[in-house]
Amino acid sequence: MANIAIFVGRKHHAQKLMNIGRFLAYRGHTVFPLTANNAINIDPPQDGIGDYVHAYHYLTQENVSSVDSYIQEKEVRSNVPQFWKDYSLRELMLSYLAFNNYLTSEDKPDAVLILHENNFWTKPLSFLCEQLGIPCFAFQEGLLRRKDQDDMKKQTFACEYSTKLFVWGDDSKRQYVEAGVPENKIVVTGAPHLAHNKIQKENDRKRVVYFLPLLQHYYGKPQADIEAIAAYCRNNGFDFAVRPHPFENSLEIPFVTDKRENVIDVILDTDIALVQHSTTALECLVLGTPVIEVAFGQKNFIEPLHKEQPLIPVIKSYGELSRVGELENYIPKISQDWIWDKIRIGDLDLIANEIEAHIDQH
Amino acid sequence: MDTPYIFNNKKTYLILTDNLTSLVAGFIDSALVSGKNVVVVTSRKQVQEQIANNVGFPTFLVPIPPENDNKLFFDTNMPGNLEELEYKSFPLWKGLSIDRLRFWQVNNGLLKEFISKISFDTAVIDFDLLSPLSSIWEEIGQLIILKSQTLRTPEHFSFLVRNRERVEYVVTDKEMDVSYLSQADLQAKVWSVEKEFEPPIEKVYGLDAIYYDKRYIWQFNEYFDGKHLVIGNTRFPQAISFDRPSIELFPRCHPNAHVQVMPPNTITTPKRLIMFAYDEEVIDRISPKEVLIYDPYNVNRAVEMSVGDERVVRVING
Repeated sequence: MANIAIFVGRKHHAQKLMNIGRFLAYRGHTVFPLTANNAINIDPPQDGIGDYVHAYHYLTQENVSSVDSYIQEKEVRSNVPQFWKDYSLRELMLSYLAFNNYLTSEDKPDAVLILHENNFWTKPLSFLCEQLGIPCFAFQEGLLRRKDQDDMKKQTFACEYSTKLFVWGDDSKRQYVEAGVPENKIVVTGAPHLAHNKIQKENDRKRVVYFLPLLQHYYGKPQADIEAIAAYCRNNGFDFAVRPHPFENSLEIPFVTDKRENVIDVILDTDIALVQHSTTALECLVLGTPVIEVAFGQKNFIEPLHKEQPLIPVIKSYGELSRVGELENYIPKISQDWIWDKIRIGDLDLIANEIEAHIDQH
Repeated sequence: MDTPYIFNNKKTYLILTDNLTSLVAGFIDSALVSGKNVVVVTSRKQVQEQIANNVGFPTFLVPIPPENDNKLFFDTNMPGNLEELEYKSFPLWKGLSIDRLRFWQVNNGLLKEFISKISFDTAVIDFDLLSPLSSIWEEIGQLIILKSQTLRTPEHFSFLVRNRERVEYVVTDKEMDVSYLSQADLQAKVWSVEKEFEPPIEKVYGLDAIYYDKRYIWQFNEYFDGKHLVIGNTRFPQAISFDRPSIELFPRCHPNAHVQVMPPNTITTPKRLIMFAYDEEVIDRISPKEVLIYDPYNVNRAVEMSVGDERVVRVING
């Protein structure tokens, strides 16, 4: 049996990877969270993950001195305020050295799981794993946006050093291959965090939930839009709640908000989901929760799903809110194949088999 | 936007500031009194108005909006200008660009254009590292630095050391910064700010306290027997924080630490304050008799940051 570290830098890392972690533990492996410092720390991963390994425990004073010597010589030429240049570089380099010491220590793991490679912890962690011959497994984090690839090659950088990349569906695989990720690294496994059971609702009233994007990315007037939806729901016998984006730092909305830790719990308790360019839209579809895209009086937001799948309704004015009540007429017509091409419920056996095969090879 | 034209041969200071501090106001005033040319630039409308109202001097407003062009970001940061940043064969930009720098990029083109059109001898900067004006500090020649809140963070210190050749001097409001700045071979000028007379009183101190911040979860766990907040044989019965999220997160991040973190104004000023990083503002606000800092491996550079501050009696960094 193997020692498997799951890197958790922020809470959503734990939420996305906890299912596969539990499943690997069930198969007899020793699975534990690995973390490192995040001085911004808006959502400390230490909140609720139990015992963990902290990479900084493996740092030395010499490491810290060498990082500071480097930063005191090197200028970061970027159009950002000075603080973020030195602060970010220091945090990245301390993480690099801490991981390096951990991965070369007696305590080193047999494999490492990361949510994705595109952050300041997991890029050096996956780089070091590759150099040291430790299998490292990355996952698709959320909805893939072609604009992110066009602008920044984000998909290309998602799996540079990892051994395998586990993705949600064939559509994702095609996008990663187009972006240059070697096909033999990609395994279509579905989204492991969705391997849940449907919960029982407590009453028969239909519950409408508006899953907000980060408000800085909102298309429209959030306050007025929410008020209009709330009024419609109140007058037509629906319960209504707003679900803020999990990264929304502080949001005071004068409506019922559902702030449960895990968005999947909210989805499973939702009858009709209102969304705007959101990973949640895909998660709702595969979990059987009908989805309506919201674009009141505005131009379309980036890469709306209804452009690809016309059976997904879009509401463009408050007058069209009546479509909420008609939803049951057309949502079931969306083919399962179309949904599964985008996202499947994670196959935990398949993921575990892949991980175990690579651990055995090493 | 008009740019200033200066027709005499007097020394010209370009002052970049997004705050009206007493040091900024004092510097403008004394430069004018001594017959220097002064050009003041800010990116904040509110500061332009404050300087006009309080100092009586016109300020150029140069907006620096957030930059949202990710294609441009790709060209300049992936790797672009960051190509040479490498550490032990790891290309640092790969961990720095998408996840960090992208969120804070600014469009400082107008500021660069403005500065290119004026002739000045020395740039005087209000040392606010978070100001968007700071995005061009590395590119503007000789500097005079005016302290803004503090000089004592690892990021302030790195900038000072890296740029010491072009820093003429640093203006501070505290004598204790002289020895701190000498670590970077920098000259300090202490600008005394008149303070209201306070009659001497015998201060009464309460129990020792830990200053907690959610940034230091690891440091807390490294040093404390969580159950009783014990370091060595000493028990610390109370913990305080100015940061509301830190107060709320404490019991969830340290479930075995049976203590409540409270706002500092709910307890008597502690005789000894235990910290995990040097923080000048926190020490000034709480005003304990002594400060003890636990900074494992000197990750927060408490050794360097606390030099000259006699309130800090010990830094433990092993």
